[in-house]
Amino acid sequence: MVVGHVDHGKSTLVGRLLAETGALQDGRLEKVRRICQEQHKPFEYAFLLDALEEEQLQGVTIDITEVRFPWRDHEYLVIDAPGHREFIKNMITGAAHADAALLLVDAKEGIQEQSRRHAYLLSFLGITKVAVVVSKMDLVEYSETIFDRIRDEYTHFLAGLNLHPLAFVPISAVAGENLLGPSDRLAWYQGPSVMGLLEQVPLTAQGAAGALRIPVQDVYKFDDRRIVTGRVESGRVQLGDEIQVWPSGHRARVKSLEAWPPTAPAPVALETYQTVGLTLDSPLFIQRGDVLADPARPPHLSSFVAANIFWLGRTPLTLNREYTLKLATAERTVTVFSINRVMHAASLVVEHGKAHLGQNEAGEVVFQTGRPLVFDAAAEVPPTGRFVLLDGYDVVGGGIVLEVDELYRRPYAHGLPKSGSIAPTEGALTAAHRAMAYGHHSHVVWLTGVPGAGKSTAARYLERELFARQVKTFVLDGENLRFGLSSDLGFTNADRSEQARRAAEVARLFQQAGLVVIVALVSPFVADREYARILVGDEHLTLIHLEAPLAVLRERDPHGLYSRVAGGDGVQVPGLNAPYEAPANPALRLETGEASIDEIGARILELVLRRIG
Amino acid sequence: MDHLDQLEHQSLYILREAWAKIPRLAMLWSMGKDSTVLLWLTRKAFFGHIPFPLIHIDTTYKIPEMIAYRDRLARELGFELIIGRNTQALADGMNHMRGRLVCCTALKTDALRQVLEEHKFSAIIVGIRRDEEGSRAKERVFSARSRQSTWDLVDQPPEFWDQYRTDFPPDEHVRVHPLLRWTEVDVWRYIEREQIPIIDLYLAREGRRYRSLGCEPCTASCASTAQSVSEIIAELVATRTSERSGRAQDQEHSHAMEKLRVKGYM
Repeated sequence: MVVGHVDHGKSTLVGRLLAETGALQDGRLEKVRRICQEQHKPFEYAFLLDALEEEQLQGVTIDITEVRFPWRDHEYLVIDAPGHREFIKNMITGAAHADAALLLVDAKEGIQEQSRRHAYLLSFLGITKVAVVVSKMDLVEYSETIFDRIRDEYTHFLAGLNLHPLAFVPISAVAGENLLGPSDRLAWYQGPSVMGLLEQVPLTAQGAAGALRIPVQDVYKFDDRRIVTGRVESGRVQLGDEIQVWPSGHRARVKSLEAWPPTAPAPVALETYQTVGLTLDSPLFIQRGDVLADPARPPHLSSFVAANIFWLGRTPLTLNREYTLKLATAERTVTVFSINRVMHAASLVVEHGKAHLGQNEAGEVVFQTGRPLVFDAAAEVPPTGRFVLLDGYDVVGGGIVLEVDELYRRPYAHGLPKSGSIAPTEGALTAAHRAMAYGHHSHVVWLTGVPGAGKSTAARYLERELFARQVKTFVLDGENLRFGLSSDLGFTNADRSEQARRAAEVARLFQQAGLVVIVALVSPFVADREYARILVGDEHLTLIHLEAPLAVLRERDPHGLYSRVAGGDGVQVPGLNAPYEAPANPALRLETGEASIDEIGARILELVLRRIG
Repeated sequence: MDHLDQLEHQSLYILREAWAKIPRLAMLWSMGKDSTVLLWLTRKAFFGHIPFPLIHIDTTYKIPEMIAYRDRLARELGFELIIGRNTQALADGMNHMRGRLVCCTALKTDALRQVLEEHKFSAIIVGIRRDEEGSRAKERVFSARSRQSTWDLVDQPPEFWDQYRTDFPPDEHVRVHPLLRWTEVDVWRYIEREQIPIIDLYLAREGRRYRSLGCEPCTASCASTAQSVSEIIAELVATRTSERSGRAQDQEHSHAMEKLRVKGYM
């Protein structure tokens, strides 16, 4: 990938390399010569790539060109990118699949805006193998001083992006200096030529060490087979492997790996980047957008995604606005929940508290999705840790998912209050003051589970035990809230969400007051529990999932709910005839069917005491 | 995974994306080597099935063996074949003597437009490659076309991380290009590896063969002794002549292909 500021000679370099390495077929040079004569211009190597009439008339690259040429033992795919600010979207289109990049800097003009913005984009796209080519050395009389100055300045800038160039290479593409081999005019330079450098670039190893991820593309029923298709984006899959389907969490084994033509042997294992067609040993409901994963290394499931964004849209990204997010094969409507910081991609200047992100700017943004999204942090599994954003039909940005912890470490305001002009008042006391006075830290213990799983029983046990240990504590029981704070709410999905939101808000107040709050609430939706976690802060909240076999639930039958369902009176019971989304990674998951309340309670108590100690 | 595996899996992924996302899909099929590979990849992608119709744009000037081959394969594989002809222009006696670009536009571009209109296809799969010529080198994998089939080549949408423009307004359609990254030699190496049957016009007869297939009056054969796919590959690795040098419409003027393609040519 060749990138850099406009007119710094990218297309000329690539064109000259093509000509010099003998990659051009007969007639290509003659055609360019003819075009240059038609336009009364001297010979332009760049026209070998800039084939569009508009590009040739204006002498600029508009869109990327990909050319392949062999050199010694390898074949190289070279992508020539436009340097104009307006064509950043095209530059990204090319750079996103490059293994390495050459950043071109004009010796005479030095480092310019796009030299910096393109470098930022490379680091954003995760391209770490970069080298700098200082071009047009003929225009500065092959001056070592000028070369050194550019090298020092750019090295410093790139270090700020955590980019460490493999080399700085001085060249003249027009004069053909230092392209294939050493140049007499650059006798002071000891490093590699451009092709020498390309030969040294280490090839990317595609390891199978990553966690298995197969985003589902489609499910085919062309014949009696029910084939799940997709691509192994990470890890590998083998016949007989157990996989877990997200977001449902169901498990199954790989029964067959399908292939055509039938005469060829069917594969027994598939590696990263191979497409797959597989059947499973149990008939699960699977659809496009689901992810098949290694049960031992699950992805994240959340309604909140924090990411570094690069914005290409002509209209700015705006707080509280809706966009479409596409991550692997999943698609979600998302709302911009918060814009944490905005970065000017050419100067790296950071601003906080902005409500917009402009074209060609970068920033850290949190999105809230309608339905929870399955994803990974980009640092862990890159292909399922990046997404594009659409506004209507147009791609307007790209995003790299941040570590989930990163999200919780920051103090997030929850959305925007309806009254826009209010600001929180600072208290006189801090959490530390209260902790010292009370002898413990504050905390929220959130017990989730279907009706009858044992939440209220566990909450009462905890309250008693904590109180006996001088811990200031209080229970927020879903049942009791419905007599007061939530007396206007019923049992629809929306009402259950609102109930969880109110419980989260109250829990936060009590937690800020220094108490250990125990919330006992069905809270059937991932999104609502995630909301509580973000509101209270990850370090202040412990999520515990209580569950019991259906037979036990029926026997306990709180408020006769289970018998009423059996009697057909239309009551909705989460987990039975209404949705209950089990948490993917609770701090504790406890089965209350067999164990006594003392055993269950003791385990929770031990964990809570450690967290508030 | 070797180079051909990478290309193959990428193409399968693209075909499945198109099938999953686009309601009315068809594939352009010209019986040439690229079309042949595309059809093979389709059967791989859909485990032996060809779930969408194939369109052949018939100018009536094709090399006769091509038509015989087309009808035989359609019978053998049992896919749905749509034949598109600009009957009006043919009735008016359109031919290349009236100007090659005029003829291509009438009998190919306009004929294609008519088929798309008649069958209300929202996307067609086309086997073009970046290395064929300059304007194709600038293409996207999912490339938007206006209702009139025109291509806005100076303002193409970004396309990265395999996220393609699979949703578009009702008055647009899309060209899907699964072979965009392949080169001519890749195509032949894949044909050799997979042992895909090809039309024998590509093999040398009496010292000449076709390197690119088109309409008889505007397609020249080249001197060759290649009798097998492996000999074709050996010949291509050594040659310095470009693939489409036998296609007369490309040589009309400096940006001939770009001009044709902006109007909706394949």
